[in-house]
Amino acid sequence: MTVTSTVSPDHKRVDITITGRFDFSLHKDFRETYRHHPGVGEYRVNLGGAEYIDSSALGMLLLLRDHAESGHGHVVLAGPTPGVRKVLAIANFDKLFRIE
Amino acid sequence: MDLSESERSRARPEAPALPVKVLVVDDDRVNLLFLRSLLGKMGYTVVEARDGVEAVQVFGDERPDIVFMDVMMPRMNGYEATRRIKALAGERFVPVIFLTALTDDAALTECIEVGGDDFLTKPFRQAILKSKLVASERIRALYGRVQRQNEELRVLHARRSRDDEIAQRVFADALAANSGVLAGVNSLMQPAAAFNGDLLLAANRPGGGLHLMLGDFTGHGLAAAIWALPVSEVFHAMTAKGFGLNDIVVQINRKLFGLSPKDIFLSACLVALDRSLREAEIWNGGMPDVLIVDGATGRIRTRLASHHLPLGIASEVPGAECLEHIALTRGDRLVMYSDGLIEARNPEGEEFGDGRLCAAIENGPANDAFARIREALETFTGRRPQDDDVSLVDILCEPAVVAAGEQPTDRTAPQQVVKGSAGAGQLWRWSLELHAPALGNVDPVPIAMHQLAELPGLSGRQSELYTVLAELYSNALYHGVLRLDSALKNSAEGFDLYYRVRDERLAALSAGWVRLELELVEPAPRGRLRIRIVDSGEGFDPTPYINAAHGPAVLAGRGIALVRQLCESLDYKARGNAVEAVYVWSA
Repeated sequence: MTVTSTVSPDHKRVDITITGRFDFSLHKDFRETYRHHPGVGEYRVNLGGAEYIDSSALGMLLLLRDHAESGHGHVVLAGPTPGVRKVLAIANFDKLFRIE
Repeated sequence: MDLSESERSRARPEAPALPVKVLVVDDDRVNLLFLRSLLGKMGYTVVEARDGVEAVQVFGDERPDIVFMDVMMPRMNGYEATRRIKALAGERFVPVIFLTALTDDAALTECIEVGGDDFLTKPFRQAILKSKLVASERIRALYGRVQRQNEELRVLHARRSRDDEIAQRVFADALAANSGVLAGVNSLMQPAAAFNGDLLLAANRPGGGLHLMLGDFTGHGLAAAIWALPVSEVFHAMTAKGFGLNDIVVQINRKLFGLSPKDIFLSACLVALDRSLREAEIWNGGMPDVLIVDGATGRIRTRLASHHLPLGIASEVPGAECLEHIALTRGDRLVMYSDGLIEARNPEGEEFGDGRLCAAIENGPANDAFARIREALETFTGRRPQDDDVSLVDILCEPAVVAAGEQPTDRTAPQQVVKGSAGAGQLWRWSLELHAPALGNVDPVPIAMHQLAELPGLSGRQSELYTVLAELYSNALYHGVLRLDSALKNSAEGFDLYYRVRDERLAALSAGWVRLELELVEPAPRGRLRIRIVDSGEGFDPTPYINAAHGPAVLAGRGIALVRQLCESLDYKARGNAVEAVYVWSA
């Protein structure tokens, strides 16, 4: 379970990639990916490699969304696996996030 | 981290105790002198012993930090003395360095085997001696650090256990005070650890009916479970006052949004069972499907998926009006569960899953579905420890479940005598008028109940009063102002149509009003309350309903007949858009 991130050269986008289990153990690392980048337009969370997501992870996404919106940015959840997509659907997170 | 004085002294980093005390044990006086002088120059305090027996004794008296031990000595040799000294030292690390002329492997390994930490071969080389001392010091410091950390951990752990114990008691008391075991409701609450992050709340409504909520907080343990307390308070207080599910959902959301951090939220499904057992209102935000099981066939007839965001995420609940209405028959069952059940894993790592759950439900008569699910789950998970809190609720739609809630008798309220200055027959008056768009969004019945709660002698009567007020008000709003026909609810298609039309007309309501008037005409002990409700509708002819004991089972008709029984009188006035009921009681 890892979190990696890259920032685009023009500082307008941050790509965050999750692999393995997306749960509370990634809490600090996840926050570190965006904490120091305010005012970014798009935060793209790549969930293709995330095999499992729990409610604490949903909470972490909410915190990211909060951070993004305070800087007039938005969050995109990209490429969730069917299992993860289902969890997002039950939580109705499609009402809060753009899911691709 | 806040340690008490005693805890702090145990954990305090020791300043290196200077001078370091060394015990030299050798039966050769020349060696003793040599070492004493050498070590003295290096700044150590030296104490001596001439044989093993003396060594043990001096060790006990002087408590040195390091021991140099000769091997061959009279009375007791160095090996035995070392064994005893190490035992005496206990948890304290005291390095023992052997001084030996023996150089064969067997002798040297024996030194380490009896507990010694190092050895110096004679003749001593000063440089070697110094190096070994430095190495020894390093290891001693390391040991000391580890010991202090262990002690700190022990203290913190003990504290944490004590706090947990207290918290658990507080929880159990607070939550138990509010909920009772309800007949007709089977539940399985299996937390993964000491505190349950899942929450089950149930309460009967004042006029009859049931509110039930199964919730799942983010995370688990104490950090999650702690939010159960404020949520439980809101749920029970509002249900007791007669508020509907809509209002309760809005309030719980507000409370959590305001109180809890952004990453804490509550997935929940709420159910309101009507006292007639003919319908249920359901709200599902973030929980697995709520299942309606047909009482006769045992099959899952309807599934209500989550259509709302969990509670505590959005500042206002969007679409709070979107409760789902489901027609029920007596004997049907509602099944609710948290994702811990579906995601429970067996030793091979497979999940229990929706398939197995539905199979367990449909595999036999509806009445035993709960037991079958439990068994299937236990068999499946085997001895694998639980990852997440598991919860399962099974509600049987039968009269016992929707009995009217008991009102707590308020023994502390002083007996007041209500005196009024108005003329005879008007001791106390209260009225409320609601116009569109507030009309339809605000429920005045709990508000009116709150006013009535102030009147002495009415405790124990709230259930009846609630029924009267709720019936008359809903008639005024739905039949008077909105002109809906309850007869629609008698057929399956009509049921959905009724609620669709109702929601449409409520949303489109731009004019119309309802006024509630309460008048206390005579106080306790023989109380008399006049209730008057007027609406802006065209009115209707109540005669077919007032006397309808049987006939088509029209919900509105049954309600009016019931009110007629509870009150001393019930009259429709004006063009049928004003109703007056007189409720009497004796304290």
